[in-house]
Amino acid sequence: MNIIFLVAKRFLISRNLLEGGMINIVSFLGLFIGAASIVLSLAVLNGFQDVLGNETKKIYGDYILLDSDEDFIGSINNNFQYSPFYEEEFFILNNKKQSLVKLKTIFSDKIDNFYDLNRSNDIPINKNDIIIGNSLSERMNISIGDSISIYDTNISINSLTVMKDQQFFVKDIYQNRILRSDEFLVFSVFDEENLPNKLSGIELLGNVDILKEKYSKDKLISWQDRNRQLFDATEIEKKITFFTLFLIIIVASFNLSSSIVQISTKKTREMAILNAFGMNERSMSMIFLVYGYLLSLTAIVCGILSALLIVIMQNQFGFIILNPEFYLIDKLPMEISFKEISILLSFSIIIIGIFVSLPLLLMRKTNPIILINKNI
Amino acid sequence: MILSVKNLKKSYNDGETKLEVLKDISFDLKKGSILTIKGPSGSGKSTLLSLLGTLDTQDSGDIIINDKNLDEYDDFSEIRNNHIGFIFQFHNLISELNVTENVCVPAFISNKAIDHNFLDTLFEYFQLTNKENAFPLDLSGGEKQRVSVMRAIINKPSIIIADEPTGNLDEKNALKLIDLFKKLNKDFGLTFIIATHDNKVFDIGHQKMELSDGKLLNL
Repeated sequence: MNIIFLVAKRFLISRNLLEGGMINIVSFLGLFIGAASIVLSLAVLNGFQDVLGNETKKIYGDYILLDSDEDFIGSINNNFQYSPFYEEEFFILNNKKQSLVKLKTIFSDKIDNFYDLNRSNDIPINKNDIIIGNSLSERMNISIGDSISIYDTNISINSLTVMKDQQFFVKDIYQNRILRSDEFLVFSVFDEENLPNKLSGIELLGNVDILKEKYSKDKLISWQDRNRQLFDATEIEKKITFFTLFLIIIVASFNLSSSIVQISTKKTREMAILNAFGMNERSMSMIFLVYGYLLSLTAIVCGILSALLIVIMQNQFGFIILNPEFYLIDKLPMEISFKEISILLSFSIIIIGIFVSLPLLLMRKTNPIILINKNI
Repeated sequence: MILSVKNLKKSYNDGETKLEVLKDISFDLKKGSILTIKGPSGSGKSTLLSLLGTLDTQDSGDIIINDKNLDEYDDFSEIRNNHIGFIFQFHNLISELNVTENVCVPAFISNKAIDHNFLDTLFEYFQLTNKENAFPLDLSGGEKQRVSVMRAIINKPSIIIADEPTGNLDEKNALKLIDLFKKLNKDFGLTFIIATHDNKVFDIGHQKMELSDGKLLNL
């Protein structure tokens, strides 16, 4: 039997559970709450990041391939779907209200097969039909069936000094508030008899590993890279949250140091006995190191498990409800990241190691043998 | 000889004065014998036992255990673990460990596999078979002292050092312990060094010495 682990365990869980004192309880609670808070906060941020990703992919796909040959993409026996598109900025005018929009022209069969626009109806879209976002329709008082004019941003004026325009019929309204896309992104379909000479790109959904070998990163761009600023902001938010909440663990680790000082002072007689029977100084220090790790890792693991239980319960039963008009979703999203849990555990192990070792360095200056000598 | 002590000297600084506790102590001890030491309080008995048990270091002189001079060692923990067993006046059991764990502490420290047959024999020998899982707080004084004796011999050490082993026991338990020491010496050939005020304990010694004013006198 490992005497170090045995003694550390018995010091921690003695017959009188309260013997360890309030400092142990405070340390335990601090580490427990710290770990649980980090896992829960990151789970929520991951959940929202996931929503952001899913909603973004609904209108932009997983990847965009720039300057590619549609026939080549179509010829690959692949695991992905693709949608060639042409995108250009226009002014949209209705009832004397004007707005700058991006008109994204796609093939009609891709509207429902590739994109997930959460349309209000399933009417087929034809040439000169347009689908606009809900926010844009509300802001400009546009309804399904209205006729709207679209002007080129490179204003070209005819001989009668009237701007050239093109009329579209609003066939449908879609819902997707991610990146405020339903305020500026409108969809139309190609006139298949009169296709443009050049595409803006091809959007892709699914596993594109086969294309990664052929195209460089500036040609094959992921949805994260395409929305780099937003994605980076969410990542920074996660990091700041992690480090801010990790302060709870650091503060609790100060208490842990106090626990170690307290227990090492209280157990000098026991250490002297162990030393008399041949335990060396290093092993005696190890007892308190193991004691510290047992206390802290139990608290952290319990905190993590409790948080995981809450995440699972929330995903299963959705007991924390959100307003879908504001948050896009009706229940608080939570997603577990085992990578982040591993990072939390690793950081905790390092911090705890530091805070447990500091009092041990001081403790080594007292020789328990001197104390037992007085008793012999 | 299992133990040879040559010209052992030890002094402590008491403020500006130097207090000589042991003055040129020399003796030899045969394997399997019992050495009893008596002397008035402050005569240096505990200091001598501390030096022999490697709990303290001498100013000068040599202590040779099993033909090895202790001067050759930097760390005495291995010697204490394998060659010396301690029996303290106040038992000094670890209250968080049960009886079996307390007994096995020296074996656990040395990472030796526990000889369960030997352990069972000891529990029967010491009449503690029903106390294996008890904790020190649940034991009587006599039982605690028997557990501390078991702990002292579990690693089969060369020498067992006992300081006032009956000092904290009533007469009945003290007599039982004295019998136990004699029996252990006879049955297992264990070597004892016992410091005591108790004449009954002193009388069991094959070698009897008196420490007076830092000097050892053979009786």
